[in-house]
Amino acid sequence: MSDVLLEVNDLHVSFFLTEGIVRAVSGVSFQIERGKTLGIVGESGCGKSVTARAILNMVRPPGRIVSGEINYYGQSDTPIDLAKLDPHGAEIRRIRWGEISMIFQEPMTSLSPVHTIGNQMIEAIRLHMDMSKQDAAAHAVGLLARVGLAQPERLLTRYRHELSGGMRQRVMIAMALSCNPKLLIADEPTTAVDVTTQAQILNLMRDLQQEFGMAIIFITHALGVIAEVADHVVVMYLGEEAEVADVDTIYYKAAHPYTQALLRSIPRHDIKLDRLETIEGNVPDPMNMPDGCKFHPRCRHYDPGKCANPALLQIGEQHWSRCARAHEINPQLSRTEQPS
Amino acid sequence: MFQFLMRRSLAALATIWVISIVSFVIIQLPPGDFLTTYMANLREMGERVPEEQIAAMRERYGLGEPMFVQYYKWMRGIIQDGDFGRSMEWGVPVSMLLWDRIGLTVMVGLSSILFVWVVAIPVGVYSATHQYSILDYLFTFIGFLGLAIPNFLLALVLMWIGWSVFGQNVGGLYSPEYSNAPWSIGKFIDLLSHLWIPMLIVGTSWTAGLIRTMRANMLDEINQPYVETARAKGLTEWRLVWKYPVRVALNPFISTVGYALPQIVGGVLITAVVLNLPTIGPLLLRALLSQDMFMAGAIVMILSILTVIGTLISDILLAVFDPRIRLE
Amino acid sequence: MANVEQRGQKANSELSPILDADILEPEKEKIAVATPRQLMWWKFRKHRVAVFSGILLIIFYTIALFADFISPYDPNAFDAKHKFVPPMYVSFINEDGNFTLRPGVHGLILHKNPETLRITYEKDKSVWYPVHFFVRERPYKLLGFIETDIHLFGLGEEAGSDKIFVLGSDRLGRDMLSRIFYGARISLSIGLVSVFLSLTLGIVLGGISGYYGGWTDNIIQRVIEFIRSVPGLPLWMALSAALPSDWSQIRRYFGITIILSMIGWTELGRQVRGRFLALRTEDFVLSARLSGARDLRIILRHMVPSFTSHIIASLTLSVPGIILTETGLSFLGLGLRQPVVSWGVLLQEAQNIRTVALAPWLLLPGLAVVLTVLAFNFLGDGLRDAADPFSR
Ligand SMILES: Nc1ncnc2c1ncn2[C@@H]1O[C@H](COP(=O)(O)OP(=O)(O)OP(=O)(O)O)[C@@H](O)[C@H]1O
Ligand SMILES: [Mg+2]
Repeated sequence: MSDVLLEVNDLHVSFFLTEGIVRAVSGVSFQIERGKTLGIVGESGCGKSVTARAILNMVRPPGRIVSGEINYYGQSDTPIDLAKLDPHGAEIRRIRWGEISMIFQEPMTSLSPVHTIGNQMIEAIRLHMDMSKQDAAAHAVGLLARVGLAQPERLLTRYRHELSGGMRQRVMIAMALSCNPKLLIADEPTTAVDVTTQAQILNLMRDLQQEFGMAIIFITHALGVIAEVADHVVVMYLGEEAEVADVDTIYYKAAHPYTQALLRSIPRHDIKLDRLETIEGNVPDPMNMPDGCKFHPRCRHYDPGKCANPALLQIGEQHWSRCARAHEINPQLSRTEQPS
Repeated sequence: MFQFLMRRSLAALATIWVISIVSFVIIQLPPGDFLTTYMANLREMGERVPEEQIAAMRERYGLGEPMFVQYYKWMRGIIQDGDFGRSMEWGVPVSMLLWDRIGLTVMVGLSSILFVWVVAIPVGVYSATHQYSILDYLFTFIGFLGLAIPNFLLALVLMWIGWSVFGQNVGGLYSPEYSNAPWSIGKFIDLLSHLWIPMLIVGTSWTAGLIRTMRANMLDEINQPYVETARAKGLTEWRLVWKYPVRVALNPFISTVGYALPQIVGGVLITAVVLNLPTIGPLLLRALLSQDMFMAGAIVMILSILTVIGTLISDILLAVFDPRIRLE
Repeated sequence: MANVEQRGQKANSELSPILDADILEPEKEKIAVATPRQLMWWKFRKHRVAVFSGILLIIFYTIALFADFISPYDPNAFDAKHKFVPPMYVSFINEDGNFTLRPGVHGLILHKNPETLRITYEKDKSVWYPVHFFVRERPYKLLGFIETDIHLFGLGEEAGSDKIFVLGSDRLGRDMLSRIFYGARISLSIGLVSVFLSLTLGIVLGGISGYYGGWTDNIIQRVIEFIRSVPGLPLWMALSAALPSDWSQIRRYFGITIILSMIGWTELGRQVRGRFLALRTEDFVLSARLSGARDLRIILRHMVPSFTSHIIASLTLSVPGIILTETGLSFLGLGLRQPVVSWGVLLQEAQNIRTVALAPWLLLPGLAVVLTVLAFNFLGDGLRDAADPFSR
């Protein structure tokens, strides 16, 4: 068995609206290894959640996976291409939650308002594991206790509105782990909670990863969070990868102006600025993408002569950047690393 | 929950009280008191009423006394003896004429609501899950059509079709052989076989609106994260739609049904007139046309009270169904 | 894409991005100055069914306005020789079987079944009357003040006592087409007048409720709740029945209008109140208040204009209910009465199922009602979507 658990190749996802086509994801590739954490970062609207949905083959009309492969190496070395599966078929339904589970972006509303926590957890457990109702309930109680919730038995009969945001997020994590998935996709699991809770949840997820051994795709818009959890990072911009590398490389040798701008915009306590650094300009209209390099309207290094149509360049052993001037903007990159 | 029930019941009682005042005002609307008219009617038919009896009735209904005394006596009659006054046209107590017709009115109303539910929920769910499909457009159009066709017109057209194509009168609630027969299984089945026409007529105009409500409610829910979660769990589309968004969308739907009830009652009324059903509708029309005001007031009051009770029941149902209200 | 190019360069210079966009994109500039009403109109135009419904309604109201001009006959004129004439085919083939450019109708031969006494009509192939346009007969006042005797069409003098019944005639030989045209006057106007009254009631009460809040709000809310929780129809029936029978037609018309307007105002009142509650705290109202404007002035000058588009949409959607109720009441004999002609009054003729079976064209006024109500609903839907894309 190889180390790779999931491999995304040249994924394209588009939404076909009456006003036009939104190419939410256009040519994204990455892989994730067993037990590791991959961070996906990017501004709002860059296609992070759409990518996550595509992995579970859950992109809904008017959206569709246009092309690309999502190879899942679950049981053996022969992968299953999730993108080719029938989105309503039995195969993908077995994989959903059973092998790959997901925590959605909106923890407040990810639980049903009219069903008890127990109902929703037991449903998931019994769907994928051969358990009686009592066993499933016991299993759920164990998980709820494991994620640090008090009085887990009573929690089973509670409803969503009786729980705080942090509690709901913990319930979601417990539910996501209930069928021992090999991969957990966490879509901005900490955006809706306060900073203390955020740290607790990050720690919890790290502990659980040790214990359960699943791989995690961690989606966020804050590069600062990524540093704490991820092994590898994909920086996305307008549906493309701007830069891909391991976490240290991203922090110390960023080779894309967008990554550099993101790094600059992390507030730092050691340097006092008059105002917070932001990235100049706004995210362009998804219907009306800029030609050539998509980042150029906001780029301070833009040179029309050089930046025609940048491809994802390999600039280091495990380091790719979609900037034609990657070497110029980052003097730290040694010339020798450049592939011939 | 208990508090909620108490609050709703008190509100319903208050509404019923206001209804009684409004009904009383209706009785008082035409000039002159009813006894004078009643006497005049009797005299016309050549009957003589002994003076003592007139005096007794005067006393009973408080005629000639201030309004509030009359109202008080009228209400006391209703609450103590179920005496709603006398029908001038029929010359008997109103309650005698009403009771058997009320049962059938409730029956037609309930079956119409049942029809509305049975049709509106699945169609609304289908329309929402297949938004902008051909069938969705078709249902929307039929819905608008149903809203636009007055009940009585639909009734007329159905009668006309029944008459000219099948050569039979589709009106009424019983076949001739059962109309005066005592209750039996056969009569009940016969009733059911006639009931579907008024049910259909009243139903169509309301299903239309409620399909739209259900569809809109569903569209609100169907992209909610909890539905995505359910899908990510690997549930089949069918199971997850019916378990999650439908269940949530039903709550505002139930309260809409509560609001629709008053109009459904109106629909039943006017349809009954065209189809000549032995319900309260034709009786009310007749009473109004002949200014038989005790009768009219009593019918307005009973219909309103029934509606308020119906709405109360639907509120309670809502509370039972929705944990957010239940725990308030 | 020169635009993008320039933009990129500008971004490098010190111009702020907002300024940048303003200078470089002339289309955007236009959008920026479009009034909300203009935006609403643009959105509305995309709604084809709604636009079509709007046009249809304009046609209907024009017909109502010029009913005396386009109706071939007096709607109340009896004609014992033409009872229950079925709708006639208007053809372009004359009595010799030749094609003509002028439309016309054949004469009728009357048959009476000696046993059932039922009258049937047969087309008289040998007689063909061409339709004349702008014929002069029956003087009237167009729009109420222009005296004239010109009518859009008729058979002219050569037809003698024969008539053209495009939509047939009723039991007294009255022309259905003319009656439907005249009926449009009452049925369509009663909708508008009632809605206007509801609007006044709704704005005044809803406005008071939302603007002042407190116990005033409480009382008005309870009243609205009461009206919404009891079945309206029996109440309206009772109230209409209580209108004194010796009232003149015009008084009766207004009486019924007032009764009908009590249907619509609660919904409007609720909406106005909601808007007021939301607006009360907004800055511009507050600043008007701080600068000492009087309450009424604030309501009329600052608050009402900010939600007219919603009101227009809700108004449009409340017309159908009123038209349907009028039709229902008149059909039952509790609303308007003969000789006033409204669609509901016309449908009274169709109460008896044997008559309908004999002369189904008596149901045609119902078709007019259905079309009107459909059009109002579609129009209102389109307006609502245009006024506020996020509300349903
Ligand atoms: N259902 C949809 N219909 C149309 N466009 C959509 C839909 N879902 C997503 N998109 C488009 O796809 C693009 C990417 O959306 P996505 O939700 O993946 O962003 P994101 O990176 O997750 O942003 P955020 O950080 O705000 O969650 C956006 O431009 C959005 O407009
Ligand atoms: Mg997202």
